[in-house]
Amino acid sequence: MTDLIVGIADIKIGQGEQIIKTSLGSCVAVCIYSKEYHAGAMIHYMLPSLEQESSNNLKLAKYGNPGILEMLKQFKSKFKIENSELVAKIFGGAKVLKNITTNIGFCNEKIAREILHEQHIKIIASKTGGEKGYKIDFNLSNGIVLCQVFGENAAEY
Amino acid sequence: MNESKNIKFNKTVQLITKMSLDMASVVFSKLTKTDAKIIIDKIYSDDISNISENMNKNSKEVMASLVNLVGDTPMKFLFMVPLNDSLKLTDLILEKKIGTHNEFNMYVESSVQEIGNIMASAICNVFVTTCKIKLVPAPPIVMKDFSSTIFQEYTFDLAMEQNEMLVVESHFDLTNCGINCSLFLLPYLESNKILSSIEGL
Amino acid sequence: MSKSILIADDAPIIRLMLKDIITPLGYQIVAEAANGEEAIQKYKEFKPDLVTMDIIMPIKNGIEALSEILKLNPKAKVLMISAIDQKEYLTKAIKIGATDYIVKPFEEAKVQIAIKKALGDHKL
Repeated sequence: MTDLIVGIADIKIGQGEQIIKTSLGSCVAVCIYSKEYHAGAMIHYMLPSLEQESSNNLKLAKYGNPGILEMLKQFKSKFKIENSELVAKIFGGAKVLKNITTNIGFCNEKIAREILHEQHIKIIASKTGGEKGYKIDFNLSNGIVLCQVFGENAAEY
Repeated sequence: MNESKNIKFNKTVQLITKMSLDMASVVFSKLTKTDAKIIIDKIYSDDISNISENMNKNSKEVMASLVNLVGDTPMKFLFMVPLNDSLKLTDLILEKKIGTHNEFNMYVESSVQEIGNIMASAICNVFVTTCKIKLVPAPPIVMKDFSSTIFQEYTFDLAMEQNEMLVVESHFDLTNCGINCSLFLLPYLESNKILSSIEGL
Repeated sequence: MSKSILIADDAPIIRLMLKDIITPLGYQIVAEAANGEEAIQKYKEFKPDLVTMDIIMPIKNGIEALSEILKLNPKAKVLMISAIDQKEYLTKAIKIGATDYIVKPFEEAKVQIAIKKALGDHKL
């Protein structure tokens, strides 16, 4: 089975032996997982909230809000499941380019925690912050995320 | 795959871009005392998600020089070299035996910085002469990180404002030294429009 | 006493390369600067016989630094060394009072000749 690679402002859903992968800086990835279906989804978003509707060509996944909700909607249309049966993990939100993306990483993480709390989805692991990039591999057979921060050894979450 | 509106990259602008990358090759070769030739892989526009998905597929640990080209037609210039190859580039510039530099000190970082500076300057010089515009590089920023992270962070402001990007993707191999570098030139969408509308081009 | 030189460039590797090119000529590198503001401060402190000046530098660029140094001392000798090869910049630098303008990547011999000429030692 091929790996699913997630780019910026995107959502991918997979199951079983698939691994969903992405790289992060100030962006955040939220991974949701269902143990029952051995299925999960990942959103990679760059901004906390959509402030106003500025164009007809909206990419909802660019924003934590409403992107995370969109990811949940897409996942639940494929797998019949309640929020309480899902778990979530959060990664990224670093301050990589100091003079460009200021506090965005912190705000991105904050919105993830707020929305998941509102949706009654338990956050069971996270690795966020710092000043270096992240590479994450979300294994859908067991829900484990292998996360490597640049300059450090990879660790399982 | 995310849908792309396929913004047209003007043909004359593409030609001037190729000329500018040829000049960047010349100055890079002169600085490193090698015979390097930049090969343009692709000139295209695509959805930001597709572009970063492709970057994520082959992400490596790199040292990069990020240079904003500022003026009438702003662009972003990104030079990336695998981490260990940056040591070799420093040896080449200083005319030392390959293997002399073995730690990432200020000379190694500034060798990547300066490569970015001279190549970005060469690109600006060609656009200024050909299109009669103002364009100069800003002081480079040097970073060490995953290539995909660097690309995403550097194009963050472009991706905030628009869902498409114009990309000129190139690479060059210094086969005698086993060094493989990549280069990206990213004109702002507005810059493509301005260049396309210049009379006499 | 050997003539003194201040090297201004934001890239340490370029400063090292210039030092290696200049030192065999018998001149003394009295200071280095990594930006235009530092170049002005070091010029005031060391009053070098010659400054080599990059253009694209953070905080203050080399053209601004050139202008301020020449205000301090209209007879100051400043050799521009930059990757910018644009008529507007060349003309502006010379008009303000730069001694010469070398385009990067530079050749050792050209830098040596330009420095000796600026210092009036080119017949040596």
